[in-house]
Amino acid sequence: MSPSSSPQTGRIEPPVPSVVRARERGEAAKHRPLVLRTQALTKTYGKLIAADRINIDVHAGSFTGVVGPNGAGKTTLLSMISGLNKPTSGRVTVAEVDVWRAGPEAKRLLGVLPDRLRLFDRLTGAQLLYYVGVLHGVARTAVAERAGELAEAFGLDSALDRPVSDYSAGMQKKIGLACAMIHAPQLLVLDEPFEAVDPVSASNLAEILEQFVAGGGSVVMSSHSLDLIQRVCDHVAVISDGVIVAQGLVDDVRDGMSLEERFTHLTESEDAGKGLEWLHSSSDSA
Amino acid sequence: MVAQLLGLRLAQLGSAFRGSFLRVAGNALGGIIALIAAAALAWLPGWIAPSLDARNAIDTVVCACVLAAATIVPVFVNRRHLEPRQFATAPARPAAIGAGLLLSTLLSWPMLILEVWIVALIVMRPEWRGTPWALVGFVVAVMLVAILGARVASACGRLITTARLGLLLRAIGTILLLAMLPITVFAIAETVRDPGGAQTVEAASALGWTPFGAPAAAMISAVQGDLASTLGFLSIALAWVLVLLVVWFGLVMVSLTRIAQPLEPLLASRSMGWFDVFSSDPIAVIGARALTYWRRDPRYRVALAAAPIGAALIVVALSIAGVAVEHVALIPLPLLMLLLGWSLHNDIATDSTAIWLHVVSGTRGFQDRLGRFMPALFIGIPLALVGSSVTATVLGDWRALPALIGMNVAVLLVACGVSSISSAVLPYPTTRPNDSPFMQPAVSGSGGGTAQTLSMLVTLALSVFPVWLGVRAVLEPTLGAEIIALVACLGYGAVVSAIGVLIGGAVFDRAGPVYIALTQTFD
Repeated sequence: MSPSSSPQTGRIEPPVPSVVRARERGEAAKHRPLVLRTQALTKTYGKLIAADRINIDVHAGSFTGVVGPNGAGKTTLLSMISGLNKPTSGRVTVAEVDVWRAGPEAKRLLGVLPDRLRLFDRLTGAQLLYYVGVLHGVARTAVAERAGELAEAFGLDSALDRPVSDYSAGMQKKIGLACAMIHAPQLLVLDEPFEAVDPVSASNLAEILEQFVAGGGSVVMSSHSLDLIQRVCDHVAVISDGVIVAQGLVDDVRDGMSLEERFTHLTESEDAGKGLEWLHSSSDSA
Repeated sequence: MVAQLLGLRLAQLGSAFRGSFLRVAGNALGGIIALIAAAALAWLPGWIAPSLDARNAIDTVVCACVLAAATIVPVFVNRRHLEPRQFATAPARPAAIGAGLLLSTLLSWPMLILEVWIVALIVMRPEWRGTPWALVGFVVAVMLVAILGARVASACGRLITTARLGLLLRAIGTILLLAMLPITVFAIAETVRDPGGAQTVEAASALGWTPFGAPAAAMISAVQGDLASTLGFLSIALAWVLVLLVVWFGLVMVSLTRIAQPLEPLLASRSMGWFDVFSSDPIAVIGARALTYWRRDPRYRVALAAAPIGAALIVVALSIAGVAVEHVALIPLPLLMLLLGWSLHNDIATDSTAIWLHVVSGTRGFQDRLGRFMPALFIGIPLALVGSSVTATVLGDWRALPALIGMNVAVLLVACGVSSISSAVLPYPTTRPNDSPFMQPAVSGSGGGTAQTLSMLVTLALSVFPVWLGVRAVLEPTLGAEIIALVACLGYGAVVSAIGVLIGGAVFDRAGPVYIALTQTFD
């Protein structure tokens, strides 16, 4: 037996796949207290209903994915939860604190990464992390320590002294995620955290998020990568045209199919892909 | 302990004469020049003054300047001083260390120079020796005020100065020095030109009531046989000395029983720019961020460059139109202050969608508003000090200085306060971050003109009061009116800006999500 294998058991244990971990976690989370609850959350823009009476419960220590087609209302939902977009009606509570009534208290519990909003990108990475940490009320020494560790975990430590405007899109996502975590929130609300992130970093990020959840934190995140959602999330909510069409444990929502098949089934209208005959038949110039 | 401290002090004095020949020669030359200058300072008033009254007035002013300098300079320049904290490990009671440090101050170069000045005065003012008890009172009062002032100021300077604040404090000292320079040169030139002038006499009578001028005023009243005034002036100095004594021993206790917070390793090793200079609470970091942006973001740099150009153009236009120099001289500085404060009037839109960080972190409106004042105040207040001093010189009347400072700072505060409301209530589309500052905003229309005009008009209207106060005091200069103008202007400015912060902050607290939606449409 080689000395590198585990000496205690004498056996090499295969790593537990993340899917299995997610399944076990989902079952366990049911018995934990609620960390996020939305009640009849609605947002209308004139006649357009962007979110229609959405009810979501998230338990402590669970990892929830929000999926849906483009323009289905994912960003609207997540920004209503994170205090960035005021709902027309309905309630959001984080650990029983109302986000829209008791703003500052609720916001200490929340870590947010919105999609397509700017950062203060003329600051260097280190300055930005420090800035966000202090705004969230973290003490100076703690900010310094956490900023260093987060930068290391996200592979940004060599870039900390450069202005954030020089970062690539993926690096900006990573520093944004680090900013969302610096005040050790209970709930992370992440809009497309993996967009533009390279595959190696993405699996690294997923691992960090999984550790966060294993430590009792919760994550609500939207993504277009159903494969990823299926792999790391224990709960999933499918949203289409502002309405939740399915939600629950990933295995329950999947119902034996792959998540992608189920998603297509749930959200696609009957005649998608039809009516483009002019495109298939021939080229105009011919 | 006292003997040991005196020995240490002697060794320090001697250290000026060790090292390379050039260094020793330089130090010796500098020392000799300083000692001659001290003696000359005692001799000059008698030489230039046409009458005894004029010489008395100049003596009082000189005494006030010397003692004020002895007290103020150590706040900024104190690196080589002995400090109570250095003796924290010594086996001595705080009282012994405090007393020892006070006594040993007698043996420092600045005090030696002061002592030479006093001796020269005693030699050159024969009539002072006629009332020996008053002379003793004068010498003791001068020494005590100087020694205690220097020690307390230096200890205070050290206490509020952690390593990262040292730079800031020295910068403030330099700015104050620069601000005082034109007015000092002017005052000296004026005094030499017209030594019996009303300005000097008036200044002397005012300065006599301060602890710095009081010893000389007491001495002069004693010579004139006015016993009541002598005792009155001496008791002013005595009261000041008692206050300083209490503060000094308090400072010694604090320095010996508390420890300074060490710097965090990560922050210490990494340069964080302005964030190093400011403390870590939301208002301070928002200020540091704004200052960083004013330096790095071309949009702010263009706005900053435009302010002096605008002021200069108006001055040129008025000069061509034939307005008198004294009147034109009053205009550029308040105008600059106005534009500086007004440049904040759309800063939420200038942040663009990055404002989400303030909303999501639960930053309170007043913190956001106050933090954003920082760059304007940081640039504006030194500018107001230096500029007012230059303006007073051009006007040819140094007594105008307090009113000018009050007026200019008040205009700056008013402009900041109005901007604080305007930027929260009426954000309008502006050039996006990272775009060229000369580029048109991506979205136009929607109230940009209204917001600009309205905020400018309100700022102008609210500036009328401090400008009226200031100009009135400049035109009819009496020291009392000047001080009233200074206090009233500063108070008015503070109140207007506080109201601005409160209203702007309350709006910001409610409108957070609105800003995100708005800036997204501007982007």
